[in-house]
Amino acid sequence: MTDVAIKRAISLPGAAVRERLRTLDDSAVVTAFLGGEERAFQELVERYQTRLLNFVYRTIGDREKAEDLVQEVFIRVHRHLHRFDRSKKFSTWIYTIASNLAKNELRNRSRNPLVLFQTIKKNWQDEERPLQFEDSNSRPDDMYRKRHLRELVEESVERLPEHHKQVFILRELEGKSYEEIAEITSCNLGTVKSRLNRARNSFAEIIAPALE
Amino acid sequence: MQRHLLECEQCAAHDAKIRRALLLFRNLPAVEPSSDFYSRLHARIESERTAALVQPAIAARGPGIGTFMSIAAGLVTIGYVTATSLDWTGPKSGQVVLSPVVATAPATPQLSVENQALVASMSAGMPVWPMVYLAEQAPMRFAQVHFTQTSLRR
Repeated sequence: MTDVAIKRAISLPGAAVRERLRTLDDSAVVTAFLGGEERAFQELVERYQTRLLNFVYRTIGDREKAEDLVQEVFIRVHRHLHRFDRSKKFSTWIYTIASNLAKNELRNRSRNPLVLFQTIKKNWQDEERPLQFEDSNSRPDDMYRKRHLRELVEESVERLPEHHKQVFILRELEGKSYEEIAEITSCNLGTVKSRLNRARNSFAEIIAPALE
Repeated sequence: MQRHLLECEQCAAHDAKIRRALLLFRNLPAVEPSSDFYSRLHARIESERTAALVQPAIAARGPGIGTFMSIAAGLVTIGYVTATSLDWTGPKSGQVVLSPVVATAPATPQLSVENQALVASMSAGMPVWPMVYLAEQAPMRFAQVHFTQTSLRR
């Protein structure tokens, strides 16, 4: 996208700008934001909030904390976007920030037993949630089976070692390439492949008995 | 790989196990951000922006009292050290330099043993024989010596 096209997009009225921004790729949206278009930041948030929330949530296992961390990711993006090297992929950059924050959170949690206890307590409370909130169209026994299965999968992911878990989620949930995962996790390609292989095997081993 | 999986039952079973597990994982329901996610984020960004605007305003007001005091103290110290090292505080050449005046306190006379004994005996209610003794002894000794010598000469 040329600078002229971005400038043209910015000069349009509110709704039209948002519409136009939606058609641009990440790099062009970043350029628009750096050119003074505040709505471009909102576009970036809309594009990444759900993906990042799922990535962080699957990594740390705490829904509320994951949302706080994703907010922090966007704060940092807003603060440092002018420093972003535009020859690189924006998605890799934003995932790197999220990955580092998630890693820090896991590290802090392992150092602070109180935080770990609060997370476990919150998960108990989640389990006590009534079944009808799952899906009002399903039968209760189906809902129970679905919830049980979902919890089983989440617990199995939780049991993976931290560095395996991140590679596993980035590949299997986010569909990132090996090269992107290597950049996000600051590892070489060989390490990513071996970690992914081990994570897949471990995950299958953990969950297999429950599926038989 | 595919050919091997067709031939090897054990590897095919393992592959199926992994595929089933991954299928479950990929089909996990996605979590959605809360409805106020963007408004909260926007509020945080705005407060950060306001803080960034206030920061330069504080800086433009000039240094605080602490900074001013430390600069003043530093300047005084530098001035003093310079004046001392360049001998600005000493007498100029040609001026008469007087020797410093030395004043000494007079030595306090030591109390004699006899007096202390007298004081002690008086306060304790003891007989004042030391005073009598001394009054008799001291001059009399000299007198006796004098008389003895005189008598010897004869």
